[in-house]
Amino acid sequence: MTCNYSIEVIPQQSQLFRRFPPWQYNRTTGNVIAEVFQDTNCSVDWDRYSTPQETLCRFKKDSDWGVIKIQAEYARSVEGQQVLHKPSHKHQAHSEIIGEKIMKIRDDLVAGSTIAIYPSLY
Amino acid sequence: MNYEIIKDNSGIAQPIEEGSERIIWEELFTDASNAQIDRIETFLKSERKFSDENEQNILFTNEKGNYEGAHSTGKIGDRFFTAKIGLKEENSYWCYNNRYFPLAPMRRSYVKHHESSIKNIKSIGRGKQVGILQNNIVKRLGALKSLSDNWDSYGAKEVTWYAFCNALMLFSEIIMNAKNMNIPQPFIAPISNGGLKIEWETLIRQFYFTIPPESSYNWEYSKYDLLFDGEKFYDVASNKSAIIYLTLNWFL
Repeated sequence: MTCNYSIEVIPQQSQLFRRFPPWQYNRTTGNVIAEVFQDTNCSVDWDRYSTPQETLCRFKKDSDWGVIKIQAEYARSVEGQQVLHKPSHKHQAHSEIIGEKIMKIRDDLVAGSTIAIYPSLY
Repeated sequence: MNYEIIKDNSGIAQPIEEGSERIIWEELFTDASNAQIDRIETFLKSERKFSDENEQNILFTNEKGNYEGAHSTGKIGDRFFTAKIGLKEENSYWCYNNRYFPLAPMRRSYVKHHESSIKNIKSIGRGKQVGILQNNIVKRLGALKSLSDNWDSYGAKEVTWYAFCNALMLFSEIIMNAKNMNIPQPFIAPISNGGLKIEWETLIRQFYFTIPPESSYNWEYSKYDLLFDGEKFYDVASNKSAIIYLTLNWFL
């Protein structure tokens, strides 16, 4: 199925959102594990077309899930990482942080992120 | 069936009856029917010769330190198996090559019997008992293993048996070898590739590592000491033993 949305350049100031399940949230430290950014093609939502709440609700999940956000400029500053807009048929906000992510790179990405929505049970 | 256990001079527990292989199977599958045991034995023998050296039995305890069940992990050929036997039916199963066999739950009387002798047991019949694992770690690992594909909504793979079995063996060996050390509670999390992330953290120190989903992946780790390290140290360990060594050093 063809995608109706054109591919745009994501500005440096844009925020990118990614939801995370409660199993990846360490309630003792209050941190998300760096492996939320594990995938080489790591899906995120661009804030031009999505809010953190919409990112959370896009895939129906329980309220104990959270959303993490990272600025595009910061993600691009991490070694070997690109940020590209990759809209799909039903999902205009869909974007990806692309690049190999060894442990140090994952740590760098999560260090520059903040939690936009905390898991509600904690 | 008599489950009496005696100890030889070395302190190693042995089943008292002859034909121990059969007895140990019945020990592992307490209350299972003969037909069920026969079916499992036939299945295992038809696959490959079972290697005792690769099997490790892990006993786990509840919050009060009482023995509540056992995990057995190992390899048959190049494939991992795991068996868990607890007090409830849903906690008792045998799995090999992604095929599940139901197990009858352990009898309370049998647990009581084991509880009384558990402190001195070094080995029970076939396989090697590598230690006593806290039940909350086993529960956490069990919960993460039960997550199905796409658990993160972005297409994550379920935790592999390779990662699960390695985590059980690793924690058991660490806990057994760190008897007099103060071990903080680890945080265990799933990774989208089917592996696991382990985080040990105190106010001034961190030790993180990943358990890979398959043997072809790396065991990545990082460590940091606020007092002595300028920055976090990253490296790749060659295998599970190296991670155990590094972890125990970190505790010291």
